[in-house]
Amino acid sequence: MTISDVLAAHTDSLMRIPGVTGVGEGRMAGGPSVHVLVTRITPELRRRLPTTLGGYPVNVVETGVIEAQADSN
Amino acid sequence: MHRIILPLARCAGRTVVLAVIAFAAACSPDSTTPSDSADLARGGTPGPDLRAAMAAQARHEASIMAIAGVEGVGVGTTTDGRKGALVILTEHAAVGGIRREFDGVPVRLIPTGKIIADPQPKGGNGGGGGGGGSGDGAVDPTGTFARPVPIGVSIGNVGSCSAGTLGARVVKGGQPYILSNNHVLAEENEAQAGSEIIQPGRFDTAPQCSTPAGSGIATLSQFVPISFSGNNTVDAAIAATTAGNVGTATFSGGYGEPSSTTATAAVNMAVQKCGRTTGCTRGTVAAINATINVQYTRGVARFVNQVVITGRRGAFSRSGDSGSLIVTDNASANPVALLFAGGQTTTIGNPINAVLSALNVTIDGK
Repeated sequence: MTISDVLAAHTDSLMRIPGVTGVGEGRMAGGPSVHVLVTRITPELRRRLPTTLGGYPVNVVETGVIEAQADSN
Repeated sequence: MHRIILPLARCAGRTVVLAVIAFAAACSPDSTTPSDSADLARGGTPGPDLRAAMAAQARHEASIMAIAGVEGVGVGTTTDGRKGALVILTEHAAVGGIRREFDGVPVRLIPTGKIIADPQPKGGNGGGGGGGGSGDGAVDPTGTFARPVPIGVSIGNVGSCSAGTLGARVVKGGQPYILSNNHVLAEENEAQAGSEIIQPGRFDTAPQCSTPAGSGIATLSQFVPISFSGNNTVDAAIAATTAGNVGTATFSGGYGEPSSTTATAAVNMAVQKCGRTTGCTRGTVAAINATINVQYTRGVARFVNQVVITGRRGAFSRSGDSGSLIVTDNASANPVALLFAGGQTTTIGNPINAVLSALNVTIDGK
């Protein structure tokens, strides 16, 4: 499976996990990876997120909440 | 180093606790306490324990500020908003030697890069060609610029006290337009076509939230509606302008004029942008084809096929940089994405080709 196939197959279920804010194609160790954005890395998320998907490594990155970036009052 | 200068100037939603404490003077004053405001923001559930965080700050601030690379210490909440936290601002993500909790209060680390000394809106600077005069020669993108204004500077819809970034000048049918986000130009689907776009945005005017005469540079023409139920690809809008009001190049110190030829984002691609809050910064594409849930004032919206960027030194963007054009980090400056969202250390952009085709425009560049 290509990385695109893996993302198409698993993005929806990954996005349903509480704390996951994004899923995309990244790069690790010279090859494609599954890039998972989470608000905060917790033991619960570590347990629920796979370390590989379809043979591609899963890279979990802590980002905080992703917000639209205008300043407003 | 500075004490409690938190970079979040938004006065609604999740950042309200930080905002109330750090920007009490800037946000509309009311009689609620920080805890009350947090309760209101989160629908009346018990607020985070800010008292314990304040006590921890009082006890440990001096020793935390003594750590090399620490830029500030404040009181806020954990990223989920549920608990009070000691917020520690660091120069970059790799600053070490900081404990994860103090007296049972969790630590929230926010890499901010160097913090500017004066976060207040600038006084009138006479509209000089250099923009906001900060005295050290650096251009302040939040200032008032002489016409034609450069790209990368503060703009907003006259209907709200907000500020985002003028991304680029674009062309449609031979006419010039400003390109930025829907949530900058069109108030998240709410603004009327024909409403005025001003420079700087009202968040950056003096006195703050005023509308100085002659600040209009464009009128809202078209926006791509943001869906809060289905998938989105772009947060984009255009406003009709003139060559006399808006130029095609960044302010001095930036990358200049972008190319009219776009580039497709690829992982590890080096990129740059010039924006209202963090100025001109460099970053790297960390992921492509990403699905992202983005928090707006009106709710969460899902975006697909997005570009994820991390800063080369500190954050690539912060609140107020929305609308910035992201271009390749080389002399040709090919447009790659339109910046619209971000987290502590991560920036999200819409692929520029999707933006341009949705609005049927091309970049007005070299």
